[in-house]
Amino acid sequence: MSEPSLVASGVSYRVKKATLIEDLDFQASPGEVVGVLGPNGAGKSTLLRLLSGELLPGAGTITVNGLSTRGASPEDLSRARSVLGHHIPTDIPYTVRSIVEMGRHPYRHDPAQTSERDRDAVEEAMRRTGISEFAGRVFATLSSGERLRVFLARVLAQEAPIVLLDEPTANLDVGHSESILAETKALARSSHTVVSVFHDLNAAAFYCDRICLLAGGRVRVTGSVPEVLRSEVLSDVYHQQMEVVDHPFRDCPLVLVVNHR
Amino acid sequence: MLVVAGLSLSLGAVDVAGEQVAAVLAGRLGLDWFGEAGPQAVAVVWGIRMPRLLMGLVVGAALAATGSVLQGMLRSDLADPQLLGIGPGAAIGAAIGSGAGGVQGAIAGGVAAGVVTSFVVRRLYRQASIDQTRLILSGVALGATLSAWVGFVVFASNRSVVPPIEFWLLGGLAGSTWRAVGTATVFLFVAVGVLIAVSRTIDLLAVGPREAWHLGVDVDLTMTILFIVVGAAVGASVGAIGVVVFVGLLVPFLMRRLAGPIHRHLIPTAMLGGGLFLISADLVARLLIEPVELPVGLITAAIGGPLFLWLVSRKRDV
Repeated sequence: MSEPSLVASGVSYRVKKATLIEDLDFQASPGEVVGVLGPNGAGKSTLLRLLSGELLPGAGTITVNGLSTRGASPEDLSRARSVLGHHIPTDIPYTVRSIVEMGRHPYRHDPAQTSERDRDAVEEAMRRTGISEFAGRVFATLSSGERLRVFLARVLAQEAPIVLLDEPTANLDVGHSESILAETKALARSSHTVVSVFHDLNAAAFYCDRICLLAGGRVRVTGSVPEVLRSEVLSDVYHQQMEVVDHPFRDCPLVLVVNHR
Repeated sequence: MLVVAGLSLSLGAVDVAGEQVAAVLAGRLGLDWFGEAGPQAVAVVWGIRMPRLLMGLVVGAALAATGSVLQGMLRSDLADPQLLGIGPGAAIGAAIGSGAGGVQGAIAGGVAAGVVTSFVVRRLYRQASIDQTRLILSGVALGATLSAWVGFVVFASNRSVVPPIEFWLLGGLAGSTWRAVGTATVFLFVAVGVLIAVSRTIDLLAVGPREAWHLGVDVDLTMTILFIVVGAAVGASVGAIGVVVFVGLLVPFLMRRLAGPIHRHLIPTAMLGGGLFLISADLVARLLIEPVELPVGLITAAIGGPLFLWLVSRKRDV
């Protein structure tokens, strides 16, 4: 495994008196998908916002591709990492192509990026996400699955080595969510660093290389998928009896919910 | 636009025949294609109506440009520089300035007060950023309060120097002089130039502040710059012709259907539309109850108000 490109060490984050993240260490390296899991309120989204630089830690440091999030300009950060948020706006009046083109904004001052280069990146991103055929449509008229693909295309066009996703598939049906997750896996295979918040434990089990399980703003367990997805750990963290078996068709664990108490 | 411009030069309390208008204009260019223009025609067309026409074009363009920018960056069809309270705030400074230094003073005072009010609106926006409706309501309340203050200033100052309250709150192109046009044009074109220069960033803000930040936009700094520039442009326009409502609301709304939401195209289109709309409104204001001249803001409000109501009622099903 190569050097970690995304490192958080000793990070704490408080809002007023509430501690949302406490003394947290986290790493992710090129080529892997790292899943961030945990019950509601565990600090998953806060961690992602800290990693993106959107929030600054009260203590500790976060480096994104060598840049400390404290002090790095938004423009430098935007060339280091892209973000696919949990909430995707619905009422945007722009066309699909315009939105994907916005992914090239980080390179507006970069003399090495020609307009052909920009156009190629946009076309490639739209082709990979299968949205080329409705490039001219207005975003607000799309279905939620199509909207997510457009935002994913924008992330691809941004060509940042680190990709952060906050529960990208939360509102999607199974077919759409599998295709989005497969695309993020492909990003990792082309040596991107992918960090994604997951709600669905079984999607995480299949698509992640490593998992960081949070509880109460701290890392409860971090490690490979079989190391983290164990029935004692999950039952304790989620306050719900769970069993873990081998997935009958996929080469990964399968988490099953058992009757309450 | 040329037709409306021609009619503006020709019609009014004193009608000047078309050939006379053409003769005056040709005469200014050193041509005598349309014969000699009478001295009265020259005085009316060149001395009074031409600066008035140009002022209408310039201010209409500036109001529509700032309206487009506000609507884009605040992601609300209901944003209008005057309705958000920036205009009435600028009018306080403009009224004080006009007591001190005539039209030039009014424009300078308007710019200063416009920038200050813009900062206040920016603060309100930060607090109300989640809820667009609250921002608009706050702006309306702010505008009403500041309008009252315009009244206090006007009634407390020298009435022979400072224009009356209806000029400040309803607007009027009547007193426009060449000097005022020159000063206002410089301010407004610098401001609009900045807005067009950062139009690509406004597109990103229109998608959402978080998304823009993820793409490398320094959202806080950009918003502050935009509010300063909008405040300065609105302030200059208020100093020149008073508060004219709904130009910045109606024109961007219509032009977005014509030019699309990309601000690089939208702002110039809105400027043309804003100029045309304001000189048309001014023409109606002059001709509706001849020879009485109505404040131009009455006309724009009569057209813009219903549209605003329609926009508000439509919002519910979004």
